[in-house]
Amino acid sequence: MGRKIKKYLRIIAALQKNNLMSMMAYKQNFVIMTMAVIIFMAMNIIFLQVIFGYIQNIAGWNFYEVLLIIGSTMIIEGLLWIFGARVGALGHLIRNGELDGLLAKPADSQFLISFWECDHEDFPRVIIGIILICYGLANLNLDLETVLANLFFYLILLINAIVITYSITLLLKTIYFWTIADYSLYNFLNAMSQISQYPTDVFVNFFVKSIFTFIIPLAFAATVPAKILARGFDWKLVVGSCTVATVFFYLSRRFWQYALKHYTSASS
Amino acid sequence: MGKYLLIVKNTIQENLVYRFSTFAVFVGETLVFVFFFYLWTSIYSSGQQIGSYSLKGIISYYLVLNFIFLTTKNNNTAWIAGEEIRRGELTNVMLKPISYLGYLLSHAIGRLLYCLAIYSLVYFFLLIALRNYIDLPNNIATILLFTALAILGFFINFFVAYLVGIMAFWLGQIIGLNFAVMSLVTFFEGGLMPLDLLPNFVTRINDFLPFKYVVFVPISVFTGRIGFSWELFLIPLGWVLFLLFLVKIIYRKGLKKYEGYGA
Repeated sequence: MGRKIKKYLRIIAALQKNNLMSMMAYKQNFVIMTMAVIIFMAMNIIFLQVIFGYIQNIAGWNFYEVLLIIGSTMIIEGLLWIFGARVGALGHLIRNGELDGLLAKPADSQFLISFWECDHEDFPRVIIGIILICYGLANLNLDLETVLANLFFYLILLINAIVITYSITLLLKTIYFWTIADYSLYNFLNAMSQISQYPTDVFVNFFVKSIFTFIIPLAFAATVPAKILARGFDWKLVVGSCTVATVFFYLSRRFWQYALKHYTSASS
Repeated sequence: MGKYLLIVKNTIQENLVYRFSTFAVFVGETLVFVFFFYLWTSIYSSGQQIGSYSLKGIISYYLVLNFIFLTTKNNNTAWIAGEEIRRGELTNVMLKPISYLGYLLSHAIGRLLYCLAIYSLVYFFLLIALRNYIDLPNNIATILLFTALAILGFFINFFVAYLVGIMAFWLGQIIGLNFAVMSLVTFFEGGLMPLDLLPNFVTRINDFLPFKYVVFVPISVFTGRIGFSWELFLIPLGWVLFLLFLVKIIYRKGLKKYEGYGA
């Protein structure tokens, strides 16, 4: 077990290094991409600022609490982009018939495809996310002891949230095995990340709320971790988050294996 | 003209093949709209209000916004141009008796017609279903003015995207530039929120930019917040002509740098 973990950590390190090297070949593009990410983040924060210029809260969440949600989204997505480009490699690997080479390698195929490509230019997401969370926490009038206790559970839920967001992404991207959906899936993922920046408590309709909690579990993607951080431990949320993370990871793995079984290569 | 019509026709047929794409984009955009619908309802039901917008006003804004994103803004011209230039595929087009601008414009028009055919139908039913939640225009003149402005908006959006795409002559890769420009443009055209909610200085900057004519102005005409005036029509028309002139010059300059490797 220990050796296996070591092997996979070495693979991640090697993939990170390769990606970084090929990215540095186009330094100019890397700089522009990094700036683009920062501009995108800034526009979202300005939107929030303007809206909160007119209102005091969204479904009971004040400005600083909403910052915790947005900050969490940025950290989760930032890490997913940095370590695996949100499974970005899958589309073109299938299209160009290059997936076969990856499948032949002596490591788990889902693992490889998930870490194959990295978008290092997304590192500002993580940094801005952490800054927003610190700024939000500092303005929430919580004492240090509460913050530290909340932070512990927050980190657990954040890991769950990363697993959930990753699993949804893989479930969607696996559709590539059957259809060339080009940029439209990216569009879909974008829509999801846009929604997960705001408190899912706005859904008062039971039916719609259930959809966003269990079918497209965006509630657990950022709102729930932020809620624990701002308002303290709630066992129902912790259990819910762990369950949804486990179920979705299992589903994404099963779907991946099912897709592989039906895969007929595009190359000869 | 006939050859360009053929490109339009081909694009429509090509889009029919990628039905799943259309479906995925629609589901994505609709999810965002459903979310905002509940977000605004939640805010207004707790007795709060966004500027001078009523709940009906703000929901109408986002509904028409959704329609514009699915139709006049639903083409990836920047990406197509950028990739064709980077991979040297532009050479294939140059060898044919068509202009590159005309070729891409026909592409975008084909896509627009395809999207209009689908989403007009979807929106017809959506407008009926949501009639109690939205402000609908009550006369034909408003709808005609909206249509004219939306068409001008389509051209402004197209030329800006084309401009970003042909930057590939100098940059090679335009993914980053495209992402940065799109983030800024979405903000300045009113794609995130109505522009009259923003502080005054932003409005003043915006008066010197063409972007608000792509989204904010057409929507405001549709929802009745802006009435008819000749400037409303002439300023975006001026922008379209200016941008046409601009992209032609820049394309000619870029072509001198073009090496066409890979073709």
